[in-house]
Amino acid sequence: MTELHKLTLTEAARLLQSREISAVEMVGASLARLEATEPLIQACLTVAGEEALAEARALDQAGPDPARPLWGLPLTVKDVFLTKGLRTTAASRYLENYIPAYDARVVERLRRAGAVIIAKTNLDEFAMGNSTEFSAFGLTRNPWNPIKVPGGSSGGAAASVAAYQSPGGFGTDTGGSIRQPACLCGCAGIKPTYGRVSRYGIVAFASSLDQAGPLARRVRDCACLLAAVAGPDERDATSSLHPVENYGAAAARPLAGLKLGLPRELWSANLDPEVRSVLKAALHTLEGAGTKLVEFSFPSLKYTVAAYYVLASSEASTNLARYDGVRYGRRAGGSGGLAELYVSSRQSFLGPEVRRRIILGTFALSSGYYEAYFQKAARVRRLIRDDYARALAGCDFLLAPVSPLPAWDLGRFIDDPVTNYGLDLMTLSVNLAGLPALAFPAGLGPTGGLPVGLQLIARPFEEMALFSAGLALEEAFPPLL
Amino acid sequence: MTLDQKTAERIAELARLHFDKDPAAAARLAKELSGIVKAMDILNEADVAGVEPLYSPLAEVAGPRPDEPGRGAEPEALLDQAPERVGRFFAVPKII
Amino acid sequence: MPVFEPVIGLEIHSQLKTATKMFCSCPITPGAEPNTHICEVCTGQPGALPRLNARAVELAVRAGLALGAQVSEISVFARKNYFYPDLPNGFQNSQLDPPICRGGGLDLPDYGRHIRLNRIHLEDDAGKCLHDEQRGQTLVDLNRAGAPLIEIVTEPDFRSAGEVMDFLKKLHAILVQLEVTAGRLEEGEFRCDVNVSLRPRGAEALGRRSEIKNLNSFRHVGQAIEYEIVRQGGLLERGEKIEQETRLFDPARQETRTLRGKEEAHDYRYFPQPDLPPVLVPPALLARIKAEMPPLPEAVMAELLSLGLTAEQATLLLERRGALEYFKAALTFLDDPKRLATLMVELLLPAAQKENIPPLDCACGPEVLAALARLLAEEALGRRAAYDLFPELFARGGDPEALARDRGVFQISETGALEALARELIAAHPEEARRYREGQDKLLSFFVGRLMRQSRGAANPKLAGEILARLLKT
Repeated sequence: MTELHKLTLTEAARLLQSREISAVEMVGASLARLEATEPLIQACLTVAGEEALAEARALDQAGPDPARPLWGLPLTVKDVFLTKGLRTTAASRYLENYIPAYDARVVERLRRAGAVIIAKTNLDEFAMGNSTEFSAFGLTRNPWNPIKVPGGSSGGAAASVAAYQSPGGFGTDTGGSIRQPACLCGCAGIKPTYGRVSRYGIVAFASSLDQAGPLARRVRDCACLLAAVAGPDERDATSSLHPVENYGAAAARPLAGLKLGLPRELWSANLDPEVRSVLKAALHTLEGAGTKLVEFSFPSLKYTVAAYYVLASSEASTNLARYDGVRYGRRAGGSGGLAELYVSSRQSFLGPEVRRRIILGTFALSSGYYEAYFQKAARVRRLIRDDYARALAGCDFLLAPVSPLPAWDLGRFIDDPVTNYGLDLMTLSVNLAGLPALAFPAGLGPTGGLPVGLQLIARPFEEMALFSAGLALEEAFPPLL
Repeated sequence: MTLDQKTAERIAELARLHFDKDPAAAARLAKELSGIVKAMDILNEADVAGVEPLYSPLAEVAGPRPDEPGRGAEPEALLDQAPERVGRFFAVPKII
Repeated sequence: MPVFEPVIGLEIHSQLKTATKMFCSCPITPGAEPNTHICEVCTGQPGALPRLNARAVELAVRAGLALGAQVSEISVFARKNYFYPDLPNGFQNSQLDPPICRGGGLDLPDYGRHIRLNRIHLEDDAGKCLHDEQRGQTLVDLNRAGAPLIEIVTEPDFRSAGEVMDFLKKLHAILVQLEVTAGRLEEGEFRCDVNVSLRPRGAEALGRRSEIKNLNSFRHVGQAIEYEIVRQGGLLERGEKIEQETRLFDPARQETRTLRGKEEAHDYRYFPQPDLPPVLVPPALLARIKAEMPPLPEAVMAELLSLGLTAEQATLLLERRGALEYFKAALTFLDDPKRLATLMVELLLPAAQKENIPPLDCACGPEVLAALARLLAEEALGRRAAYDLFPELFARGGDPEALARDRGVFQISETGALEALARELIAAHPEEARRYREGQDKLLSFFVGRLMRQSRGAANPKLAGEILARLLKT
């Protein structure tokens, strides 16, 4: 058992529970791997090595516990999950030295389930981006090819899992930020139904769109991780009371007879030839396995990008108003009076992409523009959700690409926001509709050899069904990692 | 709709941000913003007559909480985060 | 020159009487050390989320029902965005459309006017800024940040300062009686913004208005309005323009001053607060809130009168904060409302007000006052003795009976003891006794007075009179 870090989460959990390996061994192996790969990949903003080993030692002392299904497992969390006493930055200069006074609910639940948090992973500042290049603390590289982006905004989480730094990690998905990096790094990842996982203690980007979820190398690993954190939270008024199922016990369902809807507007979008080729083969495989593929038209999808950027930026513009230099975080311009303090603190310590979106959102909410932008976008949002509901009533799941491109070269879109925002077309609408979606690898591009992925979209709270189908799809499309 | 630089600067002020003093940099940001706003204008094509806005997809949520005291983060730890702390206060330059 | 008519509307902020803040479970304790009742929610930490206090909803609905408003089955919170150091999130959680209550109103019979309400909505309070002149700093205390408020917005239906003050007193009495608010004005728990404009009498259109912010005394409201009417009238008469602006009232100078003009007006960018689900008041909840409503002041007044209290006594019990609670508590110890009310009005309430102690916090609690009243009722204690004992009871509480025994002031009602005293007196004043027997009846009071003095007030005066009359005749 030399390569503990290569174990999938489910395998590692079994060996830990049966005491064949200790928590210290498992955590130590991940930390060693992290240390070896981090100089190139740069997936992590803060590594809590000593704390993690101390926790592992304490776990070993107490012994494994079947009631703690993640006992001894080293995990990462995106650096938007608040960790009490451990720096949490959201990849922003503003929070560079911020030490939270409380734990995010997800972190609390992970710890209760026995997990050990070894690192806080990199992201686009405040999760605004799709390449992790907008991190204030430097970019993260794709383990498949270090000149490529890992995707984003949970790029650090995906790269870390793909580099075998840990068997799993948590990210957040506001417009694709779990699914797209999972896809670009060849992992599995799920964006749960809005309200399935508590948002308490997660640095907010867009409150009505944000949802936390796991990334891992296997579908079942994702299921186990989600099971540990899902469920209502009395501190998050938007968390749902809908009963949680035992996702970890999901069983693969037969693909034969499965009816999958294909949103025409997503499949006919401008797909890169590498992506097109892998996905075409994938559809072929699915038909061969006896699934029934049905096209659906989503007329509202062409407004997706506009509606999303208006709504997400609007919410973000006020969610980020708290970063004002008064109570925590960094302060600048204190000598020039209060007005100067506000502007200097925000201008100096919030990055350019974040500032751009704040201005955009402030515009969409401001007097004279509110009806034309914010309200209009919210009306379109209902159209999109209704289109999804109609399509999902006519099939088991929807199947769609995740990204029109495989991982692209670092720096390629950094100065072209409009094109860059357009790359998110396939993922955004799922957040607008609040639906659960599972991203999984469908194969490697024939020329570039980079991962290409698909997403399976379900009705609200059908995570269990997603995992059952996902397990079957994993048999049809073997994992890349 | 167009977002000219003057409006954009006023909007930035509302958000307690400002445009770069360098005119070229300011013009570049204004151009980017105006490009984004133009792309958003596709919303005008959507037929949303009679469609109620959807602000959140929340479902099956709990009602309000009971009026019972509880504990959150330690006040002392919160005060310690202050960029400037004076006694038990968060301090800022005097408001005129 | 036209005659100008003032048009006045109010926005009243009243802090709801809850145990915890609006969106977090921090306790609300006025007068606590700065920043001791704060948590991640009310300091606007990253990731913190609000969760609405159910009690705040109930109290807002209660206020709406009492004021004849229409309660919304669904209302929503909106974010009201602006920057200020005492506003931790950079936005206030308020309600724009729909608010929790719409419409309603209050009659002012003394003025023959009905004041319509526009709306009542829920919102959270900001913290407090203290300005430290010496250091040139502003110090922020967030203990109050997140305290639950209702804002009551009236239509511009007032035409004089007197009407406004009458309205505010009535509204305050209702909200306090319904336990919607503790209503302590000095704590800012009931404060108001006043919009004043002038228009030529008979005109329909409203003139340009000024808004006087944050008044927390009825008297100041009246003074500020009077000042504004004169100020605006002067401007109009000189043909000058009235600025639409926000002003502050300076009680020391008895004038209002510009706080900020229109050019600095805010763009609050209201939009539905995505962290808070809609506020639901389904019929079952509405019915429960109705059932649990304490009676309105008018009903309480009627009840007090039916107990035999005078109108003056009843009014005082209603108006003085905490008096009614004290009275009700005292009634549980002694069912003698008239005597209790008298003792409260003559002894307890003046003393409590002088020392600035809420009635229920006095050392002389309802059980002590009730015990004192019982001694009076049983004629074990004379009125004079009882009133002499009170200062000691007010200062230290204790058992009135034991205290009376210690002081030796129990009323002497034993015929034997009184007869002995009476015989001594008659023997000592033969001349007066003779004149009494000759028909000068008035002299009886001379003897009674002497007897009372000799017994240091402990004698039962009625009984003493009877005994003296009998003994003098023989």
